[in-house]
Amino acid sequence: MYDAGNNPAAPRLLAVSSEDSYMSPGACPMRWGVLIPFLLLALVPTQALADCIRCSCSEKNYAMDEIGLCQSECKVSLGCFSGICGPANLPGADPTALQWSRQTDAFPNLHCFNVLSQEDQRYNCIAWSVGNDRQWIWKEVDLIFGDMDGTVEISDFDDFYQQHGFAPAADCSFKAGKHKVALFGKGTQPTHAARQSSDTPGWWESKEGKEKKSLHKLTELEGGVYGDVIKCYERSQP
Amino acid sequence: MKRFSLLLAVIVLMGLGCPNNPSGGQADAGPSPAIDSGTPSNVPREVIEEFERHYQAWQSAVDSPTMRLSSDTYELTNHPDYQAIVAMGKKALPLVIAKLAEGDFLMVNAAEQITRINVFKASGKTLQPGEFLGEQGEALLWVEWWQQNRSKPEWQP
Repeated sequence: MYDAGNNPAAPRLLAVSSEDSYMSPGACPMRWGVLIPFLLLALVPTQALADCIRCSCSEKNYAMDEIGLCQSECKVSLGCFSGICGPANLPGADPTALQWSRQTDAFPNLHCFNVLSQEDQRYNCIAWSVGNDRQWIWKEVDLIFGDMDGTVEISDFDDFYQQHGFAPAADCSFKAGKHKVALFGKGTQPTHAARQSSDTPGWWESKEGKEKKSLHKLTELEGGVYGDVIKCYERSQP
Repeated sequence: MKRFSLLLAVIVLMGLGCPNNPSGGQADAGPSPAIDSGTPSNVPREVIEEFERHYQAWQSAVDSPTMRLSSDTYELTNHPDYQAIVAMGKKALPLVIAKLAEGDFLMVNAAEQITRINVFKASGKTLQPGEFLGEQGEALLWVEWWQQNRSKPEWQP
């Protein structure tokens, strides 16, 4: 049987063909003749094949949806696994179509991400940035470590991270043996923190509010609902 | 035997299906309601209804795809319905504390804004190096504070 997972090139070609076909069906009847057997093939064998057809890192519009296939929770990030936009065997799971759609709406520069863990309301990004997966941390950044003025500012985070062994870093680049944190903000208003992955150099982990924890490139999260990276911190790995 | 196993399985599944947060709030996300929060039995019905109306509207708002991505407690609670609960003042306090005891730790801001108390400072507690309070810890402090202060005249509606 056709194994989509072992052949990253084929689904991409198929996706292009099917997209062409519905974009201008009347223009070239011959194209239908060539495509129909392929489409039937896609219909028959497996959900996996359908998943593959709709997968490519930069595709936000799922071609196969247009002709009635894969209407529900299909995987969308084959590219991440096949090495098209990320390394093969990237940790985590494929996002669902819904996760992909919401994520790329919120972060328009995002081209590839994986899901490290599903929704968890107990902890947030700040907690995860310091290795805590049990608590929701925001207010104490201001009320305990900061200036207690009812808003959380960059200087409050300086104090918070300092209390937990971090110092401002010269840049956000990967450095072996260092645990780095990137603080996002809109203007000077902090919104989010991501933590550099120790397992996958160059990739970052974000616990997104009460939502999932994802693995992504740092710059691809910029320009969205969290704004841009405004500061990086680092400490030695314990 | 087969029938008995099936019956057993059904009983177990029924047990697993029990909801632990009937308010629809932040289930299993915070302090255990082991401490008696003083769930209000003497709060007038119209106060409860007004509170619940705002509470449910706020819950829906923070459940939007964008707000679900926010970690900012101040942003999540800066909503007209949440602020309407704050504006209810002391009469809403028993209901706010009840939500905190149920596990909705985002109600910490309402408690703080109604009472204008920094409950961490008031508790006299300190954090050890590497220790966190978190909104869940603050929620617990509020429940404890309420137990000690609920009968004081200044907190009566």
